[in-house]
Amino acid sequence: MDTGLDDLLSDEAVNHPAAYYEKLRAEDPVHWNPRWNGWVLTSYADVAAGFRDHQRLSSDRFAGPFGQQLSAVSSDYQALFGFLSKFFVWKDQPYHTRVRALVNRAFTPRSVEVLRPRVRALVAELTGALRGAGETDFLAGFAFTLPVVVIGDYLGVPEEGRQDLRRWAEDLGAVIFVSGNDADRLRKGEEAMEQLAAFLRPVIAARRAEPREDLLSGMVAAQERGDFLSEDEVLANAILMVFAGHETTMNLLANGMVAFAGFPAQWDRLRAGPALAATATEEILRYDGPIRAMARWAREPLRIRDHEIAAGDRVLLAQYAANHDPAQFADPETVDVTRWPNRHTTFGQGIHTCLGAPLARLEAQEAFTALAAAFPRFEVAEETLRYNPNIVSRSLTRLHLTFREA
Amino acid sequence: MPDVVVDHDLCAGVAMCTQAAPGAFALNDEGLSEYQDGPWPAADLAEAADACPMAAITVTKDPKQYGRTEAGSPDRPDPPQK
Repeated sequence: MDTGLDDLLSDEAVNHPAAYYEKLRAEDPVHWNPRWNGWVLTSYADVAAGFRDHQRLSSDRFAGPFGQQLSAVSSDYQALFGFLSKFFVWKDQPYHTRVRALVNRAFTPRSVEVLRPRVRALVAELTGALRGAGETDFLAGFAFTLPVVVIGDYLGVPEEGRQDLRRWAEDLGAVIFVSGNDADRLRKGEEAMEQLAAFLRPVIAARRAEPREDLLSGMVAAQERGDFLSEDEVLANAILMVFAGHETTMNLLANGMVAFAGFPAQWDRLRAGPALAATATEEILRYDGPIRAMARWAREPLRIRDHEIAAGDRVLLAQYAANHDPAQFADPETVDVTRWPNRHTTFGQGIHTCLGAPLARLEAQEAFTALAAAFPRFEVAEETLRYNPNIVSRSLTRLHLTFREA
Repeated sequence: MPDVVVDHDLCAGVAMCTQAAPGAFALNDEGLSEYQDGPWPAADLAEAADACPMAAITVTKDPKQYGRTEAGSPDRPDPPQK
């Protein structure tokens, strides 16, 4: 069906996704998008089912249609694709399940709960710095700093070099989040991957010689037990965690502030009732989470509604659209910090559900609660909010905020 | 037997429980975890509850009796309250 809605990077799709996806969902919820060369799913039911159908809808980026695209260039960018190919998120069973089970223990709600005092102290420090500061760069001063310090501490990554992580993550994100082969982007991604590897390799060697109570030491121990197959596998998945551990959480915090700016009464409710931290965080994840959509491809033919999906077809699971589907969520365009149940798709569902979800939740709960407690009001300084043109992530190009103590 | 409850408002079908406690949990047609009648080793059930990234599994009854050995460790965080 020609909906006139095939440009996933149009101004409307990028900057006004609620309006864009509403039209697409209403007109053609299982839509063949010739421009993206795949199916775009926008109803909650189809997106949720798609995430759970890992048998038929593959995450493997190194096989199928994505693999063909990558193999054309992979020999020119060996560090980039060598490590990316070991990212467990981009694998199917059994590799995915083996590695996930290894690292899962470190990211369960109980395990990350031990970080709460550290997160709370860090949030207090960052919040204190905003007092009387006037207009501040919220992305650089708060949203980036909190998650990068938390994941850095947890993994055991030295403090020096953490500032470089943002640039590396941006350059890697340009490869990871965007399909297609753009030489400049790939070259930057290759450099970022080499630099990240060079940064982490000596840390891993140091943990091997002298283990500490951190995740890198745990991963090295897992390799020595034979659970990880190689040091490169340890390194690749450490890179994945550094990357995934802050980029998305940064965007969650920033998007959340924009959401609260639009619904100040909800900010007041959170301020009055910090017990709402958990449901408020789920609602921000639903309303404007850091991920817009995830790609899969069909390993075998399947039928979705009245559409035949052929083996090898690409399938885009549009989480933002699913999270705003009125068939699943009453008043989806309204932020309600008490909304429950709230089975949003922002972390995905099924076996690939975000490993870091418990940590992201903890950080966002602490950040939103502390900011609401400290500042009854705040204003978005941007005249117009602009988002990075990206199919996968929902990330602001800039977010300056002015916090008011009264 | 311990009572085992899987909260389907929280379960995301990650299936970590099916590895932690083989046989005790299975995904239903919607991809959500369902407890299967046991008996199962209490330690496996405790492990499944701990391994769940969504904190969706609750094992009730006296924890000492059923092999939760991490005495003194903090309770799992409560699920979000309305």
